[in-house]
Amino acid sequence: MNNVMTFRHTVPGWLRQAASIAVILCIVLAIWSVAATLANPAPSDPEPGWLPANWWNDRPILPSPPQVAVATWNGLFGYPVSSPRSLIFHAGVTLEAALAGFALATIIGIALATAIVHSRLLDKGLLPWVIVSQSIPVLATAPMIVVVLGNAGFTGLLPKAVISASLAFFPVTIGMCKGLRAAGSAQIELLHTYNASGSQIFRKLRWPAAIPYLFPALKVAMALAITGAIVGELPTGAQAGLGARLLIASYNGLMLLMWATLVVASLTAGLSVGVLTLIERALPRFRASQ
Amino acid sequence: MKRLAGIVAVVAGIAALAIVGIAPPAALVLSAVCAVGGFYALAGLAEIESRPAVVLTPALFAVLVLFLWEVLTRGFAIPMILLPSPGIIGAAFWQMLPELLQDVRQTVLYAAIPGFLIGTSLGLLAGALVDRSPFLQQGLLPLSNFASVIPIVGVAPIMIMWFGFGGESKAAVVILITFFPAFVNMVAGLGQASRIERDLMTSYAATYWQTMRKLRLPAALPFLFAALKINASLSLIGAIVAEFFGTPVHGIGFRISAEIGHLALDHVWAAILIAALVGSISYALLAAAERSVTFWHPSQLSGRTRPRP
Amino acid sequence: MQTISPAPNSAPKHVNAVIESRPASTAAPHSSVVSVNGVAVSYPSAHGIFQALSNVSLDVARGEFISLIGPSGCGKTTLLRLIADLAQPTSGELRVNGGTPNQARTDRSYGYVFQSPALYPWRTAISNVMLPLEIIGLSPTERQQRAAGALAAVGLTEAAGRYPWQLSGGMQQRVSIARALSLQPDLLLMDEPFGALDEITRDKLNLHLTDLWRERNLTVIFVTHSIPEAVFLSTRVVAMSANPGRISRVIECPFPQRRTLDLRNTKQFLDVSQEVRDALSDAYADE
Ligand SMILES: Nc1ncnc2c1ncn2[C@@H]1O[C@H](COP(=O)(O)OP(=O)(O)O)[C@@H](O)[C@H]1O
Ligand SMILES: [Mg+2]
Repeated sequence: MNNVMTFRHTVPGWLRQAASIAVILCIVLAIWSVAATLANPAPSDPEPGWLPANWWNDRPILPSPPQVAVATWNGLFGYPVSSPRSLIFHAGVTLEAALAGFALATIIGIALATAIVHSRLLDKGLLPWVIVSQSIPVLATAPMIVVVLGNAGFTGLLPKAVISASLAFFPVTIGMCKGLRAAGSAQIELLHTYNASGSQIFRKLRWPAAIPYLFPALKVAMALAITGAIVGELPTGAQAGLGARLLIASYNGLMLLMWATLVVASLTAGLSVGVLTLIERALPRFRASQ
Repeated sequence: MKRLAGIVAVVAGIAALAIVGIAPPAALVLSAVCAVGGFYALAGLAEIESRPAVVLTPALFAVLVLFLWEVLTRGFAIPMILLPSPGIIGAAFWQMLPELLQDVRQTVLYAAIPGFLIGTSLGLLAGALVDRSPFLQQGLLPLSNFASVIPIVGVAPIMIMWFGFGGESKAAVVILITFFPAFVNMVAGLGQASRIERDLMTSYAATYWQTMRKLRLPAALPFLFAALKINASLSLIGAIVAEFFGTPVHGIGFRISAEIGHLALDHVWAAILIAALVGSISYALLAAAERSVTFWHPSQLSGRTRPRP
Repeated sequence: MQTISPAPNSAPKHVNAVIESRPASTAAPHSSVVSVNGVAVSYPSAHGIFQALSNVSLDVARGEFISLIGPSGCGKTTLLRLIADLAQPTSGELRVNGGTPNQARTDRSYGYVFQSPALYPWRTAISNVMLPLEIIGLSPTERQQRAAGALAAVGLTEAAGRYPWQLSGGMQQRVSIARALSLQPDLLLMDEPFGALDEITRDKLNLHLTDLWRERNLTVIFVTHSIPEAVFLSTRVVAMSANPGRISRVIECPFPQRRTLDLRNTKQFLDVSQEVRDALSDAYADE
């Protein structure tokens, strides 16, 4: 009992967390390995090696962990970055669209939230619809946006960015609406006693008070933007981008390519959100004070 | 004054709709009058705090936007492959309704709902299990935060290879998508009971299940409903997007990709409309259930019942 | 187990009758309800070991009303939690009703009133009071009767159907006392139950509590920050000091069992209060 307590209090928190993550990953890897051993038929000409032969089946049902690792590695580093077989190239294409959409969403979201907190008409008339729209599958419009913008002469990055933005601006809008209203009435009254103008209250109080709400919203928005960009690459017969890669893999039954593309897509999303987290941490005034 | 503006807006609006087929320029002028008058009148309505006004303002706001959409697309003769007018979409919706209902059956009944039920239950169960191991909890939470940012719909092609083109593969995608929100919210929800509330149960020598049933699950309800609401919308999105990767001849996602291939934009909009209806109805049902079950939670109490002195 | 029949208006009398016919407690073989023997509690902290309690010994006889008073962080809550088996001592021994605290807890032989009412917001007042009765598995009718009796004992029959958020702070705390009484314990552990209430409400609840204590022959261990409250309610006041948490002095309050608010204006009361104040100022000077 006491030993346990001492252990808990002497081992630093991050180390315990890292240990926990490692244990969980090992469990997942173990289950995956067993499943891969059971699921895949052995290849006809097994290569000698210390791993189970069916882990290297060319057309696996469930690719084994090392197989996925190798496929991902080759996809990332096996080709020059400009090659259409390089997953870095495709991730770049998707990320470009996602970042453009993310930027668009951030600007629109902040602007819309500012308008909503300043206009009762928008607050009462529009905000309810923004909230309702979170329960409807906006992503379903993706193919239509691609085709309509294509008809209007826009192809490539723009339609994907628009799809990303159409997903990502909701969390920014709603987060910023909350944030801009976070300042307590006592704080606002204090500024009223100084006879501050509306724009002064906005700059000196509402905006800084909203900042802690901005980054959590941006992280959600970033994840959505990347999903949006990938889905935006599905309907066009697009040649580049992670979504296009997934579709090609799907049509040709290339299991390994699917897994590698998915891993790269996850890494791309994780890294993008991770960068936002790092920025948030680096800027103390962007952190929630509590 | 604002009431007068409202009346003018309604009259101008009806007139604009009446003549937009004959004299587009005049209709556009009238619709501008309607827009100015209408928004001015709505701004007045937005100042009123009563219950009908709170419902009426967004409703009329939507009517006004739909009206402008109708008159502008027709007045400027915007080609249908760019943006069909609401009237055309409505007509297409009505005419396609039997087909659309079949699509809903495929997407919702065979993919979204089974996936939602299985994925959510598994997530809740996993959350309840992990709650018993603080060690695993520490690692699982950051991992599920990571899982929440990755584009899980991308597993759709894998699921199609495993389970075929039918509803099963879509349901499998939905299971994966809905698992993590349920899991994270269960863990967070079970953490809601305060130390004193738990000590109270300990002081009664209550069993694990008694503490669960009488304290921790009720206290977790707001979080569980949050998970249900998120998952309701995620499961619909997941099922539809999974259908973009291939499906038999039914399903909302299938309908959207097929009709877009024919450039039948009105049909696409009709399919999107039914998806939106399904999404908002399920959300509304869950929200109503939440209100009746978590009536005691501060978020539900605000403005309705104040503490009596 | 005896039940209190719901007779709200004549409640106190009725309760008395029930108490008189209560068998087990008065015939107990051991003399002290709670005995704490050389108990220490330490927690590992950033700067080594933190002594929350060190060498604490205390004997509480049946029918006593003990107040624990001292600067915050001196271990009052910790001591109460040890007695309630909500925490474990690092060393030393505790007995409750002659057995271990764990036995006392599994026998449900104490009632614990927490610093905040900790009412479950999804339950009405009466169903909050019924909570422990559900846990011990009483039948619904029995629960209903006992809970109604307990609510009547704190004068809240009217509020039975209300939700916690519809009750004032004082009423909430009374419900939580009723909840502790519903188990019909002989021992009541109370952790600053009235700390968050205004002076007038507090006086009322103090009167109520002292009546309950006398009428039901309860043993009470009571944590407070208020010297007048401690002296008014107690048979003994235990002054504690912090770092390490320990008992610095025990002061007798030699007043009759039946207490009214006038007591506070007597010279004797003021003298005892002064004694407690002196003991405490030493404790605070330590800091
Ligand atoms: N579980 C715990 N872990 C670490 N320190 C604790 C724990 N419980 C109590 N303490 C510490 O023990 C001291 C005494 O706490 P407590 O009994 O709550 O004091 P009081 O009720 O007299 O204000 C405090 O300094 C508190 O921080
Ligand atoms: Mg305390």
